[in-house]
Amino acid sequence: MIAQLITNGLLAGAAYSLIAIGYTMIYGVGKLINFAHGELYMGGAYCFYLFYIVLGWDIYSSCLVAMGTGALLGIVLEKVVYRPFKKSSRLVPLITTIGASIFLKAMAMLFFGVQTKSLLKGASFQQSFSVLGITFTPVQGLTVVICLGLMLILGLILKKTKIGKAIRATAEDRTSASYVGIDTDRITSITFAIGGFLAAIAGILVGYDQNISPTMGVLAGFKGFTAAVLGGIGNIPGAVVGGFCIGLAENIGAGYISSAYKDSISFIILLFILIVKPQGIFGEK
Amino acid sequence: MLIAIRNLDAFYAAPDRLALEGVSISVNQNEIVALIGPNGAGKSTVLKAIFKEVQIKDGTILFEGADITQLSTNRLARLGIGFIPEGRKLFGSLTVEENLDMGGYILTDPKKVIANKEKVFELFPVLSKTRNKVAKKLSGGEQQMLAFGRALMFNPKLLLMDEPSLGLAPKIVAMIFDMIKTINNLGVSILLVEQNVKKALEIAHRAYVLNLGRVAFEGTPKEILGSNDLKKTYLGG
Ligand SMILES: Nc1ncnc2c1ncn2[C@@H]1O[C@H](COP(=O)(O)OP(=O)(O)O)[C@@H](O)[C@H]1O
Ligand SMILES: [Mg+2]
Repeated sequence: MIAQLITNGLLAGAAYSLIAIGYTMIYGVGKLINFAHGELYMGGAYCFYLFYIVLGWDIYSSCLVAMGTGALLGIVLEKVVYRPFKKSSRLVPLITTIGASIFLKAMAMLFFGVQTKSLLKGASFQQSFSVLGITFTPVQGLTVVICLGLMLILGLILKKTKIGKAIRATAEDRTSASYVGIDTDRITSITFAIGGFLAAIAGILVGYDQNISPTMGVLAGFKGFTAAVLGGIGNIPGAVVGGFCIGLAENIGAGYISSAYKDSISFIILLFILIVKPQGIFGEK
Repeated sequence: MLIAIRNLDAFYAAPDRLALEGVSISVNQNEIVALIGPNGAGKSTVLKAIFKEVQIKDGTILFEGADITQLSTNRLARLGIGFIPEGRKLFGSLTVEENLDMGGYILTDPKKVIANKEKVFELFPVLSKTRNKVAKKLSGGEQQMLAFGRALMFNPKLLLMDEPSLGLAPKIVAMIFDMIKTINNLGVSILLVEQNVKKALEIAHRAYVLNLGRVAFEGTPKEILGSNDLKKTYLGG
């Protein structure tokens, strides 16, 4: 049983990591917790729903459009709820992102209704696999592969490219970054786009596996946030490790204690880190 | 005149509490200009005003004749103005080489970035040896060299320096002042804020004494050192 629980944990953890990376990067560059981040995840899933199910496009084009929309939503979010308030008290953009979160959820309910929707067209793709007694669906397997691939690509971009280095420099010291000529507003915008892109992919993958609803971003966002805090907010490898830790903890916890506690486990972890080690596993202070 | 600050009034929080009042300061081509004065006089504020980190109430800042009073911070490097702030403000978790890459951010030709890095490594061989080390792991002296190197990466015409010798061992301080002269000899003009007045006046061509947000005196180092009044009031005897 433990092997199956670990597998489930890694599968869930991959998606949490993608969400957590967005939280942590946006925090790094903008010193802001984006409370609408879960809604970028939800927005990606609904955009995919719109094109794939409602408009009947093929799966690849629908994915591309949904990922692009996630990035675009990130950019719009930065322009509307972050940039105008970045010079105000840090509480202000926090509250505006909460407002954006409520707005986006309401929009999804208005256009698509409150009921749960399925992203499946044919059932064949959801035939479960069984390897060494461990059961998972192709989409779940794909989720892990895509997540790890994306993390690798993101790591390379941040390490090797000029834009990537500028993102890290801006996160490190925004003022110095502007001294050397980096347009830090543009870098912040790009970071929101990356966060939205990754969240949208997670939303599509998880939505495909578990159906979608306008409030799907609430718990997922919360868990991604917990993962980011666990890894040390601002620390990207930390967010990945944090994501997998949360996925493992809640699935193993669900298996050995009770599945009724599954969602509360991340709440307990968050409380615990905030009390014991607020800077997270890899955070410095 | 390379840069000319004219009748600048600047403030931090409240417009009626001016940190600078009617300040006029200029730097000519190839000059080292020292900005000295007691703690809290407004020396750092002058540099921050050029980089838009304080609010400007009145006055103008001209660079090569163009008005840059309202220009945003990230546009200044493109004009050729570099800023080495107090405490150096390196990108601590980036390596030495990545810090230099970021110094050359505005250069569009990657070959130029590589060539400029080589020049910086020639000027500061210690940076070549530590190129893969993260900046925060460097010693104070090495960090100051990296700060110089990063600022030199985009071939600036003017460098603003805020207390580059602060907190460094005496032997390193001497080296830092030599470096400033070397940088100046490369054709870079320098506006230097320093607490170490004696050393600053040794290398400066001209100097301004700032007090309570106003220019109290302007002249050559010789004139300042020759005036007992100035020495007593501002330079501690
Ligand atoms: N961030 C700030 N906010 C408000 N007042 C400041 C700030 N920085 C400096 N000041 C004030 O502006 C004046 C000039 O400071 P500063 O330029 O740092 O002096 P100096 O560099 O000559 O020691 C001082 O009275 C100081 O208290
Ligand atoms: Mg100062």
